[in-house]
Amino acid sequence: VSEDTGNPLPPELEARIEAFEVAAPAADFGVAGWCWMILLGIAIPVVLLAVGWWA
Amino acid sequence: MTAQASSQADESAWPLLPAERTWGAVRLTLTLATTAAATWCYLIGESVGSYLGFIKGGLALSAGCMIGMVLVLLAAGPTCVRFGIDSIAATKPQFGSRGWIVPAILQAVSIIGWNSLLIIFFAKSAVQLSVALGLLDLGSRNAALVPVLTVFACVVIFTVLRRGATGVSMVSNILVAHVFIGLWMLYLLVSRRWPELIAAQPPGASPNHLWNYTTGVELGIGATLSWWPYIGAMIRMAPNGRTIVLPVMLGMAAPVPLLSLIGLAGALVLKSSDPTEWLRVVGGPTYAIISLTFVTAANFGTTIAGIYASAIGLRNFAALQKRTWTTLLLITIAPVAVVGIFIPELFFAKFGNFLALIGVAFAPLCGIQIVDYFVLRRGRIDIRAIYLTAPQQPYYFWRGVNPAAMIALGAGCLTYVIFLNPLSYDSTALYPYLTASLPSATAAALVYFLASLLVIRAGRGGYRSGASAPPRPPESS
Repeated sequence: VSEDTGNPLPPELEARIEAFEVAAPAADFGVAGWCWMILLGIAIPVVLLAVGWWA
Repeated sequence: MTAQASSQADESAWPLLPAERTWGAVRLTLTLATTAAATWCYLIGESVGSYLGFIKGGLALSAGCMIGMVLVLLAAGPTCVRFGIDSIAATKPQFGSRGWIVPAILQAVSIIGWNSLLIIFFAKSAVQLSVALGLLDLGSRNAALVPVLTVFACVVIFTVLRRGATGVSMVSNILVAHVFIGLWMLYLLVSRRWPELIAAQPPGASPNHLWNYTTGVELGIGATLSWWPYIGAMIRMAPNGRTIVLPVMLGMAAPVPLLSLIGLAGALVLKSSDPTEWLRVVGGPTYAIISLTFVTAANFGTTIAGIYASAIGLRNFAALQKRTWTTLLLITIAPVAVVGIFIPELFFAKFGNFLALIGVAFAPLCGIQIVDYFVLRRGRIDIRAIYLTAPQQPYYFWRGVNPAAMIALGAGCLTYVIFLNPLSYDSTALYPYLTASLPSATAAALVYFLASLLVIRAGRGGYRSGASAPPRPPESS
C-alpha cells in the first residue's frame, strides 16, 4: 500500500510510525557499543594481523 | 498494540515497536551463531587453505571476518535496530522509494543461492548419515533420494517458519549445539594431526607472501559481508542498539573463522574441507555419524534464518504487502526447492562464480549506507518516508531512484573488480596492501558523498528536512 495508489497507510502501520514520531529518537549503538566495535572490529583485528604476519 | 498486530509485524516489513522486540543478548547471540555457522564455513576455510597455512590462515581469516562484520553492522545496524526494520527497508533513504529494488534483488539472489547450496548439502548429508547408520545401502540410487530429501527439508522449513521469528529463535536454541560439536571436530583434527598441519603447504600459494595474506583477509571480509541480507531481520528483534554489538560480533563474526578452521585444517592435511569425509578417516564411523548429524543440523538452521530474512524482504514489494505470510514463504522457498530438485550438480559446479559476483556488490552497498547515515544524515532518518512513495516524499528523489546511490554502487563494484578480479583472482599492485573490499567500500562512499552534494543542492532526499522522529501529522493522499 502506498501513496502511489492514493491509499493511506494501513492503520496498524500508521500507528507504529506515529509511535516512533512521538517518542524521542532511539540511540543507535551507545557508548559501550562503540567501544566494543572499536575493540572487536579494529583493535583486535590489527593485533591478529600483526601476530599472523610475524608468525 | 494487539497480539495479532505484533504477530503481523513479526511477519512484515513494518517497524517493530520496542515492546515487541523481545530478543535479549543471549537469544540474539544464539540465533546469529546458528545463522552464521553452516557448511559454507568449510568452503571458506578451504579457500583460505589454498593460499595460507593453518596459523596464518586462521589469523588472517579471523581479522577479515571481524572487519567485515563491523562494516555490515555500521551499514545496516543503526537504522534496522532503531526502527525495527529489515535490511532492505533500511536502504530506502539511500536508494530511493523505488531504487531499493536493486539491493532487494541482490538480497534475493544471494540468499536463494546460499540456501540452495545449503539445502543440497543438507540432503546429501542426510543420505550419507542414513548410510552410516545402516538405514541405507551404498549405491548410486541413493542420489535419487537427494531431491526427495530436498522437498522434505523445504516442508519442514516452511512449517517452522509459519511461526515467524519465533520459529527461527526456537530452532536456534536447539541447533546452537552444533557450533560446539564443530569445535570438538576441530580439536580432534588438530590434536591428532598437529605436526602434519603445521608442515602442510598451501597448494595455490603465490610467491608474494603479502598477496597470500591479504587474500586470507579478503576472503574473511567477503564472507561476513554476505551477512548483510540476514542481519536486519535478526537485529530488529532486539530492543535497542546498545545490546546488539557484542551479540553480532561474538555470535556472527566469531563462529565463522572458528568453524572455517575445520575446512582449513581438513584442506591442508587431508585435502578435503568436508568433515563428513575426513572424520571417517580420522576417527572412524562413530565420528562420521556425529559429523554428519552436525552438518545436517547446521545447514538446516542457517536455511531457516535465510528463508525468513528473504520472506521479510519480499514484504517491501507493494504487490506482496497484503499477501499472507504463508504465500511469502512459498514464494521464497520455491526457487530453492527448484534448484535443489532439478539442477543440484550444475548449481554446485557454478556456485563459486555466482558467489564471487554477488560478493562484489555488498562492500559498496555498505560504504553507501555508512556515509549516508553517519556523514550526510547524521542519524536523521524519516521513518514515515520509508513507507511512502509519492513524488513529494523525501525518499522519492527522481522517479523513486537516487542516482547518487546507483552511480556509487557502480563505482564501488568497478573498483572491486579492478583491485581483484573475483573470477580469475588477477589483482592490481595495490591489492596486497589494501584488499579489494575496503577500497570498493571507500570508493562507493566517496562517490556517494560527492554525488549527494548535488542531490542536496537540488533539494531532494530529505537531507534538509529529514528528522528522526519529530511529531508530524500523518500524510494524506
